[in-house]
Order: sequence, then C-alpha cells, then structure tokens
Amino acid sequence: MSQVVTGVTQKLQDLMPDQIGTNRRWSTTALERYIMLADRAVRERTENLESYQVITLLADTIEYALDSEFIDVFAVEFAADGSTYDYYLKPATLDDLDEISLSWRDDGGTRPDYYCLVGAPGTPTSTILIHRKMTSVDAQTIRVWGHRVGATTTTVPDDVQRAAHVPYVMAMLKAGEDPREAAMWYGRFINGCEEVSRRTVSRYAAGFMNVDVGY
Amino acid sequence: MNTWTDIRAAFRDITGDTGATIFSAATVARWANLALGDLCEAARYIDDQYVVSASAGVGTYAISSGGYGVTRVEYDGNVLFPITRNGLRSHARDWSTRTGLPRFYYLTELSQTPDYLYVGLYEIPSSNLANGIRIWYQAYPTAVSDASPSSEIEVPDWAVGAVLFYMLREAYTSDTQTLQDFSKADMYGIMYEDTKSRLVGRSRAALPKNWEYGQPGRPSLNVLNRLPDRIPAP
Repeated sequence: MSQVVTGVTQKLQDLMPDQIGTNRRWSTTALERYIMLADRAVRERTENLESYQVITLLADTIEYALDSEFIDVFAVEFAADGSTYDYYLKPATLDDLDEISLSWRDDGGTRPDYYCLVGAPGTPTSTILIHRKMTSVDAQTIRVWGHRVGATTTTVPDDVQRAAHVPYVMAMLKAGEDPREAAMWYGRFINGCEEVSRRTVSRYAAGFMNVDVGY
Repeated sequence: MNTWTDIRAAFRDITGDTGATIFSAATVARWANLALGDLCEAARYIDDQYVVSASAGVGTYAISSGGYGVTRVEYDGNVLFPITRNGLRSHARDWSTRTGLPRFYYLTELSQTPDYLYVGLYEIPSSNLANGIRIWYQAYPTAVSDASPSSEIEVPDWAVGAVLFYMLREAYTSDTQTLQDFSKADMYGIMYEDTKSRLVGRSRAALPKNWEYGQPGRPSLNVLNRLPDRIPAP
C-alpha cells in the first residue's frame, strides 16, 4: 500500500528507466497529472473508494450543492442531532415526488424522507434535492455516501497500481509515440480494473438475507 | 486535475507543442469546448432549472442560455404534460391562439428556432402566472476559457480525461507537417469514446433504485448487494 502518486511514479520509473525527472522525456509534474487522471478512471471503474459529504440542513431550503469528487451516490442518511445517523432517505425522481405530493417543493417538516439528484454526481454544478425541507433547524444534517475519486496522497494497494494505474498512464504516454503499444496498455488497464472490481462486488448479487421470506 | 490549466498543460506536454507554435490557444480551447459539447449531448449530465415570468397572452418562452432538451415544465405546483405540436394540431384547430389555464407544454421545432430552446404552453395563459413557469432542462456545460483557467471544467471529475483525449485526437488528425498521424489519433479516439460511454451510463442511471413508490417492503434489509439497479435522475 502506498500513496497513489509516489507509488505509481516508482513503478513507472521501473518501466521507463531514466525517462522521468528534470530535463528528461517526462517531467514529474506532468506525470503527476497523468497519474491523477488514471486514478480517476480507476476509481470510476472499480468503485473502490467510499466516502461521504456532510451537509448541514438549512430552514426552508430544498436544494444543496454536492462535492465534485463524487462518482455516484448510493445512500443518504439523516441525523436530527447532527451526529446520530439513524434514518435513511429514499431515492426518488421528480416524477416520484409528484406522486407523493403535488406541493413537494413547498412541503416542510422536521425530517426529510426523500432525495433526488439534479445532474450527474461529480459535475461541479450537481445538487441534491430533499423532500421535505426543514421548517426550522438547529443541528440537523444529512450524510451523502458515494464512491469518489481520491487525492494525490490517497493510498492504493500496490498490486492495484500495477494492474490498473500503470497501464493507464502508459497508454496515455505511448499513444502519441506508438499506438499499438498504447492499445496493449489500454487493454491491460481494462482487464486490471475488472480484476480489481471483482474484489469489491458481492458474489451474492441477489443477496441471501431477505426479511420478507422468513429471515 | 480537473481545471483547464491542468488539461491544457497535459495537452501541450503530450503533443510537445509547449510554445503553442502548432496549435494556438484559441484552437486548443475550441477543441476542449467541442469535447464538452459532445460529452454533454451524449450523456446529458447537467440538469438545470430556469424560472421565467409568464404573462397573460404569451404562449412561448425561451431558455436564453440554451440546452439539449426540456425534461419538465411546472408552475405553482402544477406539472404540465408534454405534447407535440402535431398532437395539438390534430386536437384543436385554434391551439395556437386558445387561452386559458396551461395544462400542456410543447417544444418549438428546430427549423423554427435553431438557436434556443423555446417552450410553448397550451393553453396560452389567460392571466399572469404569479410565480412564473419553472423549466427543467438539460443544460450546456460552461465553456472553458483562458481568461479563467483555474475554474473546474464542467464535467464529472472522474471523466475529465475525456476532454484531453478528444483534444489529442483532433491534434493528431489535423493536417500538420509534424504531428499528423491517424493511428495515434485513433488511439486517443478510442480512449475518448471509452470514457464517454462510461459517462453516458452513469449519467442516465444516477439514482440507486432500492425503492419504488407504491411498492411495499422497500427498502429491504438486504445489505449484501451493494450494486443496486439504477434509475435516471431527476
């Protein structure tokens, strides 16, 4: 396990000796950019970094900005005291909200029940919309869980770097020199992501615990 | 890594055109904006809403910033039903002049208003709508500009590489003495299309579907399945 930029740089130096650094083919600054592009692509394909954003609710406010680091959103929790998250909001579309209440934009209450995403998560302008909005507030928060992209210092297992990050960066670098080699690296990147994502996907896709049938 | 500064620098670095001797700053920015337009039209990843005053007797309203499509029109808690102009033509001879309470909305055709999205109301409001009409639409991304290079590019963070790949594809396609190479352009094109396809998938299915309105027993206590079906947002 190592930080993504330092770890991947090390592995690239092994593959391309004497080509990285000051006055060489690839500067470390440029390489860092490519590594972070690779990290974003890998995080998206493998969904291997979970994180959350806490949003303090405001009175009479229905819409809140989302961080642009999100790849997707899979759960939204509510805490009446700002720390004890004991209630899940349910996902809904605007059409769902229409069925729930024709005055959903104006409905107020003491706890939101539903959330709706406006724009794809990760877009700088994307927002989350809640129903019902808070009539009044003291410390209520929601916690938005999702898969996210990492930072330059986020750690990644070394074998994941080898399987996914390194091939992606190599594909980027080599596409402008030798497209056939780049195609080979890009194929390895896709395969590497497949391997990595299989670690995090449940083997019991349908689940085996279902309270409705007796558990 | 999601600002124009970063992407522009990566482009210059890979092409070796650090002094902008082959491609001008304007050309490079234009390619980036073409990439954003192509990505956004395919994935429709920006939802926006626009409130416009609605006056008695006025039947059509423009979204001045433009966009790719209208998804919803509402006013004062009333959601209008979508309908086509052909539908209206067959429904009511006086559809274009009839006034009353709006219940339907239609879009003007491209041949009529190619630059902007215009929403038409049927019936035409017979009195001013107190709070205007709210139009939900799929918006254009904000263009990148050398005047504000540190702004985040309006594409999901994880997909920002697609903008770079598009620019590189164009660079290696262009008829230059030093850089033109279609096989290299193809390789960057493959990487661009691959990222674009991921973005389309994620944008069209943004919400986790572990609950449906009106269906009992949701959400379940099935905590093992972390990859639920997805539904479009909003």
